[in-house]
Amino acid sequence: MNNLTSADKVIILMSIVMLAILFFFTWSNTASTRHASLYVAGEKRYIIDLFEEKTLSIDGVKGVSKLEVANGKIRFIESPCSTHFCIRSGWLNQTIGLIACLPNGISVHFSNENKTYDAINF
Amino acid sequence: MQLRLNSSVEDRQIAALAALAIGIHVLESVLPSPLPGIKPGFANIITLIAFAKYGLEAAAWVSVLRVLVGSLIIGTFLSPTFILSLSGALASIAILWVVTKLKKIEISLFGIAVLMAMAHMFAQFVMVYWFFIPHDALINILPIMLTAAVLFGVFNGMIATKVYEKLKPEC
Repeated sequence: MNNLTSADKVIILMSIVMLAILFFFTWSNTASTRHASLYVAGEKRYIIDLFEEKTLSIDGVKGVSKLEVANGKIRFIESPCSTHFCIRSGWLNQTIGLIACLPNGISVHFSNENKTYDAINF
Repeated sequence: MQLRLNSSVEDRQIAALAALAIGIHVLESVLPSPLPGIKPGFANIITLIAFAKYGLEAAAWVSVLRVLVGSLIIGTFLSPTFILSLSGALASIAILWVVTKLKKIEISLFGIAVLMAMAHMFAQFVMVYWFFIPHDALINILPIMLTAAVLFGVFNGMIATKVYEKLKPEC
């Protein structure tokens, strides 16, 4: 640690700054996607703009599910299923990645067009 | 008929350093890591010393030999681990090349270690994103990995400077 040249100090300072910026951009909740894709029985039906406040009534396999869109977020508020796991999942966010009512065949996740698979394992 | 390989002095120096790096690499693989891909990378110390003493070409040889032979010994040759390891090593060699081109700026082994560690981690992240996990949420792990890279780079840089100081008198 004795003979740190000024270039070294610049490198370390810049790496700390870069890390701070990266942490801010990836971990703050301000980074959100604008659109969600809604699938009914496996086929993509709607692309929902998350910044328009509305309530959607979607016809699923078993009945009508209601979803609420507010403030860049979406969640189930009514569903004809018996256990209501969809409603209990709450708002769709990056962590859970997907909210779905399986008995009704409706699933919602953030739109990403060009990915064919999420992960591959050997 | 005998096949004779005439090895020069440089060959033997590189072989000795490479053997040391391979040993450290294999031994370090038994240490548990909190996340897949976070490892101290102590073998980079040998690469740094090779760079400081003998130059870029020797450091490149030591690094690539360490990846190749280390993967053969551990058993991950040509596996995804090997691809990630190789891409990280090549990226850190590329950073060494950039450092040699910037002759006017004096960087000590310390800064070089940090740069190599960051290049290594970043290249591995890019490879993982392209080939193995093209998921958008992967970016969330990049700051954590880079923080580990910077911390271990600092640590390795300290060790490398100390070792190089002890080596220099004998030359």
